[in-house]
Amino acid sequence: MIRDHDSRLAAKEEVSPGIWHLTFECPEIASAALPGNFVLIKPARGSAPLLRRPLGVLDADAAKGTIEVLFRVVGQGTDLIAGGDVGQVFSVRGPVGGNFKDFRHGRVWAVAGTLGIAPLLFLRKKIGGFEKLFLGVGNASWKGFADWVQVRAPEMVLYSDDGSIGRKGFSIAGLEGEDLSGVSLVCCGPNPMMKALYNQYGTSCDDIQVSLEKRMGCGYGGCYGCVVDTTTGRRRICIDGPVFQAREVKWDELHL
Amino acid sequence: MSCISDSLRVNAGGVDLRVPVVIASGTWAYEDGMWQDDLARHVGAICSKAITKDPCLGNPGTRVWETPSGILNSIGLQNEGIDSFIDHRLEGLKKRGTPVMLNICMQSDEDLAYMMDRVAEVKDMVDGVELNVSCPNTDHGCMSWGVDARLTAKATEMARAKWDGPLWVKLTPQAPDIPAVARAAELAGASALVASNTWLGMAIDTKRGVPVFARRVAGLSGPAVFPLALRVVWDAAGAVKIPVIGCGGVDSADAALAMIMAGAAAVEVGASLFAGFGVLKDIHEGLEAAVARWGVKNVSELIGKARETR
Repeated sequence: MIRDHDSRLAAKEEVSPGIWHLTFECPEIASAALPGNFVLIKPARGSAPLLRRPLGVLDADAAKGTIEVLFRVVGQGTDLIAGGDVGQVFSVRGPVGGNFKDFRHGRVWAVAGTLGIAPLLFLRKKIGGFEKLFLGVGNASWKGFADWVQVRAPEMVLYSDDGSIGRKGFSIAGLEGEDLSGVSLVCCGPNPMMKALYNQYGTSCDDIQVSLEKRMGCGYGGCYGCVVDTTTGRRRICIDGPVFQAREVKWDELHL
Repeated sequence: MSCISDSLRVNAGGVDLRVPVVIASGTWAYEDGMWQDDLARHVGAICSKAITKDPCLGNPGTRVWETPSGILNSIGLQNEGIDSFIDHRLEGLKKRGTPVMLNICMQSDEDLAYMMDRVAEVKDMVDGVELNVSCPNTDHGCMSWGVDARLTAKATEMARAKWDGPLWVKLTPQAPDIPAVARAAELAGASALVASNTWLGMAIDTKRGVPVFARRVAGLSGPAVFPLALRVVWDAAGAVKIPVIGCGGVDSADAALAMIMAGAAAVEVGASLFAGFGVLKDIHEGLEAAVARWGVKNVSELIGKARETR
């Protein structure tokens, strides 16, 4: 059930400049969250800013009662969350959305774009590792982040747009020349990346699960502010998604 | 269920609200989890998402945009249409126990006649109608009714001719003469007014140099509009004898009380729910405290309190 929970910020770590890993004490969400779910964190009390920031669940530990998120500071809201003091209480809404599930194949490969790695690391923990994992970043300024991911997912193969770290290219380049017929693909990153992935591999892979993103209003299915066109109509990313089968998404109509 | 006293019970145009707090149209979900008692006990009624005659896809592109203490939306009435709503959804909502107001939005006379006929067929299942003459997010109809007193009266008359139950008319703040529109709706048979829907605004994406919204304009709500909404409540309540329900930026018990003291019988809450569900409990408990503080038996004794000195 989606509810707001007063949650104490238990730990924080700056993974690399502007990228934060935060742990919140939130037993209700910790015991219910599944890989692919997200939470919406209120950056501050009051109305400035008014809206919550949706962040994918990086990890949830029911025994400890904690959830973790990983995000980049991109504006006022994320800056306020990252600037929270350990011990500070934030309102965390969740868990929201569906999850990665019902894999058609036993072999699961993952493709991530920068912070899109967060829900995939949660999935990785649940399924005991990916057969292959490709992560894409912009350039060498992401090295600290990439190293942090590598520690948690040794199978990760890194790509960067300019080739300054890892291999040169986008993370979907990791799929080139591969036989995907017996593989389930999971993907989270910028929508254009996932669109490109589907355009290239939508016919050769019959199970591609993507986690979409869009500006959100409520985060509980009420406002219809975050819809995406699918084969079954215009659906809400927040609670009908965020995980969709890629073949369900009308990618040409997706507002990128 | 906690014990709820009658100190907050009000009658809003024929709708018995055990708490004078209504969830505004388009801000709540129909999914089960949202109707559980921990939240529902703090509200008197819930307005449905806007319902149109035919299924409506709503607007393409970006639909919401945060503003200082507010939110612009351009949803564009995405909904399944009146037939599907009545055939597949209404019974489930009715069973949940919280009164449901059907927010009815039309492009034409014919749309309205058809929808009100359908509503009348299921009269026993409907707690009331909230006639939406004020949505700013479509190219056809809706707000064009509400900016004009004559058209507001026409729509209200048509709805009233087919429906003798509670009929709230949701006004638009874009109407140049709020008292005139309010009086027109009252004379035409409205049993209450909702003051009001969102403010017309817009946003520019300065990175791309284009308007954010496909229709360019959008409706502004949230605490940013509260002082504006309060003025609309004051003007509407001063013009009519029927109850007025205040709507616009209510995010606290104090804001709700201000609306009530300006003349509102109840308030609607919308965008503040996006910020936090706790606003419902805060308003509920805060209004109970205000009733005690002012030494009255029922919150209705505070309606229009601030008008007494004028």
